[in-house]
Amino acid sequence: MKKYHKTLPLATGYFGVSSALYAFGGLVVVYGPAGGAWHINIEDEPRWYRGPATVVGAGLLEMDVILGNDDKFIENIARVANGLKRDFVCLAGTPISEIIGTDLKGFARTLEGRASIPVFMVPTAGSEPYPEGASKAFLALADKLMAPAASKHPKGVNVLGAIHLSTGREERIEPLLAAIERAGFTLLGVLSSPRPGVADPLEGLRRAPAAERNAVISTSGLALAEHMYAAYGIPYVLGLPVGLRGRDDFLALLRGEQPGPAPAVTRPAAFRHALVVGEPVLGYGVQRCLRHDFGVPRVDVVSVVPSEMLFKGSEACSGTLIERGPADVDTESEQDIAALMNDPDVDCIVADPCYQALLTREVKFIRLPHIAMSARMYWDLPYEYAVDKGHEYLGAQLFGPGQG
Amino acid sequence: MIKVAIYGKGGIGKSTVASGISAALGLQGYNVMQLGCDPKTDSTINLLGGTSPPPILQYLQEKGRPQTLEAIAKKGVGGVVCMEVGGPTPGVGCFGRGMLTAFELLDEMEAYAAFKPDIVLYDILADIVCGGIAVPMREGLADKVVIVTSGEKMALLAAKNIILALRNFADRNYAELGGLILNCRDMVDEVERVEEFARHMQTSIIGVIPRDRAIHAFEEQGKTIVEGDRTLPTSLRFFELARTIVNLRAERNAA
Repeated sequence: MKKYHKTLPLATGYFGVSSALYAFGGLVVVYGPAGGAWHINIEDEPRWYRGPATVVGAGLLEMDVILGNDDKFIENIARVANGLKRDFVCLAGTPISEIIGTDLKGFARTLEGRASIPVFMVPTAGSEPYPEGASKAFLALADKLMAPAASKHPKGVNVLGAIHLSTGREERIEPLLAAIERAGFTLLGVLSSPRPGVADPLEGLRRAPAAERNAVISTSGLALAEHMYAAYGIPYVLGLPVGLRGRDDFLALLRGEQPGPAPAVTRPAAFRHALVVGEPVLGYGVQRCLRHDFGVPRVDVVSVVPSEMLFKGSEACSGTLIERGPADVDTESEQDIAALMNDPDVDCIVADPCYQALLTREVKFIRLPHIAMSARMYWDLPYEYAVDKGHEYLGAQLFGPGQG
Repeated sequence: MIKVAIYGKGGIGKSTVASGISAALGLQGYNVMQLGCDPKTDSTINLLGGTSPPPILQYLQEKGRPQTLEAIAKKGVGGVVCMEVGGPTPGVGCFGRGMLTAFELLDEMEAYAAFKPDIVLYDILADIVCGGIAVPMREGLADKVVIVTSGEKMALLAAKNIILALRNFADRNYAELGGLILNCRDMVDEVERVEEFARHMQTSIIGVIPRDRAIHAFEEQGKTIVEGDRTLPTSLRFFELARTIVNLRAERNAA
């Protein structure tokens, strides 16, 4: 059994579903008890603040489960979706539907007939890591609404995996999106973050199959990237570019080139052994930045969600910024992470501020919120990671005073 | 491949009928898989000389996920692949949810690809008493539902409930009704009664199995009547019924 004394369990599968689909103008129905979506909207979904919710609960009561009031459930959703003029409905499973064996696929078929909009289900159980739910949600959405492009868009790029649980506020990835555009590429779809000035939130999804290349910036985008390679022949690059070296290497990969040799570090930081704790694609981005922008000789990555799929090798992957090191580990165990953070050899830690509670000693701690861990708590914290902004933020922290 | 779920009132003879069909199909060279969906694990007993395969749910609980399909499947007369879902001790647990777990396991272990059955028979324990018992009707599981009934009032009421449940689920892309099998109880005008019921419910009788003591005599020996003496008139009825099931497969493949 997992024990959490000082931190929190990470968001699970149906949180990942709601995070992935939130911005697309649909209705995500979490098949749980009355009040079941409350914790998503109130705690884990900082983008919602009153008004019609994108994520709603099924509102199940005891007698609904006993008597199988499926019609009531289906009619309620159809009414809400039509009333709010939503573009689709997604039914996401929870421990309730998993335990009682609810046929969400069957519900989706019935609902589609009554709501006259696309309806699909995502088979989450509430026990899987959130990227699994987000990945399944992207695949289900693509299966329902993505179609082959009439023609390819030269230099068209999609950014996949930009879900708030991994990459935070939309403005955190803006420097990356701007860098991609400045390099001469056209952003077709950013999944799942609507582009400024685009009225239809699903437009990016519809345009996405015309892309020349996908950029996967979190584990949640990987399954969709593999699907888009199989369905539309679009290769992908893997990595979230943090700092200057990351930016240059990433853009080289997008151009289909191999990154050049690393230039000498002009201003090395004083740290010798850093530990980065969090989502692995971002974690490896930070690792590259600390190594190549700031000359930190050893940087280990602790992935708090499974990362093995990043290293399996795929013909769809045309380039990656991610290199597994011998001391990198996957663990969400509070005890394991505490042991790694309190290793006396480690002199710098980059992690969500919640992990600071695990420290039993003074050490440089750079705050990099992971929304899947801290939800709203550090949503408004000023921090950056993407390209030049990430370099500035990490530089200021590394050379700044105090323990971070 | 066609997957047929056999429903009907408790004690109506579903396992006898299912096993007779399986044996007839198997002896004619078809690849057949029969999955008993009853915690009593007695669906396939007469295909296996009076023994049962290890029940899937008990196996999962005691030993974890099986390494191979052979751990939970046994081959019976005519090469019929026999499996039993198993289930909770009477009075506890939830059998319907257990069925779902067993079906998911067979899917994950690619049982259908491994055994390549032409016909799959799911022998379901009762009529539709709750959502759990409707699991085999779900999309991707059974293609057709066949209901075993007699001419008795309670059996026909159970059959009616099953048909209404199926129609209620029509917009979920669940299994379709394949028809009725009349397992006779020697009532007066039994065939006519069931024919009238079938007309009323807009379905048909796809087979009639007469009341025959030979069935019970061979079952005492752990055999179906088809295996015991394939020349008997009742055995010939099973062969006819098997041909009808094969035709259901042909219709489905054509569709």
